Amino acid sequence: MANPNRGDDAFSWIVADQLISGGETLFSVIKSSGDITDLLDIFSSHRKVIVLDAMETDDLVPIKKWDAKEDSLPASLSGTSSHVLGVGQAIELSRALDKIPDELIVIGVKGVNFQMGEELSSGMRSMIPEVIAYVRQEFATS
Amino acid sequence: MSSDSEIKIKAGIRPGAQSGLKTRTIKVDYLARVEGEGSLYIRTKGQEIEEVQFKIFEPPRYFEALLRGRDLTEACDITSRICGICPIAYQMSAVQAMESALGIELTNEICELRRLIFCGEWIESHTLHVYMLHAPDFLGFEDAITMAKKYPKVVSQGLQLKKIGNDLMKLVGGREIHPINVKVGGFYKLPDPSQLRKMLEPLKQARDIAAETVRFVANLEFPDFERDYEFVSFFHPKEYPINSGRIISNRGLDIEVPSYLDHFQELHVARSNALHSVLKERGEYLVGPLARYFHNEARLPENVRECARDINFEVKDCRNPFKSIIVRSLEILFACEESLRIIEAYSARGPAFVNYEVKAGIGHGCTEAPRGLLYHRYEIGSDGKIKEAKIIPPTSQNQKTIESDLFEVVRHYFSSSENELRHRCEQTVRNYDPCISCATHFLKIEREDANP
Repeated sequence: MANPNRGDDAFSWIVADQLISGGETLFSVIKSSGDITDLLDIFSSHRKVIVLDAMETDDLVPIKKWDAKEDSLPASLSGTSSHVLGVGQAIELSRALDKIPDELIVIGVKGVNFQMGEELSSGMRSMIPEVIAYVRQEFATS
Repeated sequence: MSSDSEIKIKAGIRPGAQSGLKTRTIKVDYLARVEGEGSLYIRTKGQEIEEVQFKIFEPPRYFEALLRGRDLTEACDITSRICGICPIAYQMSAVQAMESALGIELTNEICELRRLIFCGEWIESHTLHVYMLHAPDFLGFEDAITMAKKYPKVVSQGLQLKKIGNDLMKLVGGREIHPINVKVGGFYKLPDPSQLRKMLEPLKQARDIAAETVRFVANLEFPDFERDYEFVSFFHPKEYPINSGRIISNRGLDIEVPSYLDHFQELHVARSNALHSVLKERGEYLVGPLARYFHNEARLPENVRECARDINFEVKDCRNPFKSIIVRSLEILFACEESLRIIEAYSARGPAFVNYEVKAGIGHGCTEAPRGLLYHRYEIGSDGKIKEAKIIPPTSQNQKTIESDLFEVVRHYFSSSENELRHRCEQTVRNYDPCISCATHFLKIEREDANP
């Protein structure tokens, strides 16, 4: 999930583009703007889903993982969304409607600049290889 | 969200207050289920309501200033960024203003496609509000998620409807949020008729769901509350208006779009970063679905009017703002019906756009955004650059009316518990589906009661 025009919020789509251009075959890569109906469609039509999103947080850990089947997501994960319903609400709604996938993992990557029109920060850019490896590892073990 | 709300009731004598008065403060950190940053402040003393303020404290966004010096072709894409829920309305008002300044006459096919993409926006925006934001108010749920546990079929249907609205916007506009296919003079590319025809079956299903939605919301319990509004909307003699018509009211206003600023005025009030819009002669007025329906019910397709008759909804019911959820549902049904009509007749004859020559001029654009009239005015230089821009969104036009509604609601529910009063006030704001844009809200009701 990303907004490509909002600084570090572009992170997930940049990762997605690199996965797509690398010819990823183990899993599908879907770029979502975070619309709730899009997310629910994705959740209800896949067995395992990894949601990758940039987040604004004071947490010192740069990459955090949640098992969304078991855990509630922190409000900060939806905090950068300009929409009234964010990823947290989409997950809870899919749970309420029994449309949640067998495995739903959320990976939040800590960003520092979410201003409109800004570029991805250098810190976020340096994390791209690590996050790609992280995602591949998650699917390789399923 | 309400679950995170902090509710405080402070009892005591306020400095300077009369002896024996009690101050009670209800603080809700997040006014849920609205778009934007604002707050509500209500102060009562004894049996008197002293002050009602609907405050918008979201920082000014300076879009009008940022448009100055930009090319006239850029306005529709820049202004669509004002709102992620109703970007089409911004695009349409902007291109319409430019086309009026340049004297561009559109083909009927382009006009119909613009109406189609607008229908997509009405469907997705109204559906989001009806199912996710407003229905939980009536059914006693904190939000759509808790509502989904009790009414999974209803919420699933709402999501299905919203998706069809999104799909229409994507097919005509290139993407569902901030579409990119609209340009001055028409579209960059005409949509493929075969792709649009694939929407016919989903739209027929959507029409059935929309009719069910009307019946569902008609059975909600509505407060016995009415006000004598000045309804302001487009009026069109031949169609339910979306992007053209005369601007009329039930108190004698009847003007063409270019005369808008002769009759409406924006005022700055200290508590709000959104200007309050008033009619110069009479003050507050109401725009949006209730006003549209009030003036144009007779222009709706027969099946929509029949649906309204089946639930005994009459034009006079528009005076109850809580019933806006019914009108939004009827407008979803209309938008589905209208989309079917346009797609069935569409053949992509072309051209995708009308050529034009740049010249200096002043242009006005006005459309019916889901929340009501959205007015744009631009002054263009001979080089095609924007010299001045003015944008008046529906939420700022409704601000004074929202405050007056709150005043009456507080009076109506004065003896209610704090929780009941707070809920009614929040619901009153949500009746308007205000699009302040983005995140947090703050509701604060302060009372000084004579009898502690």
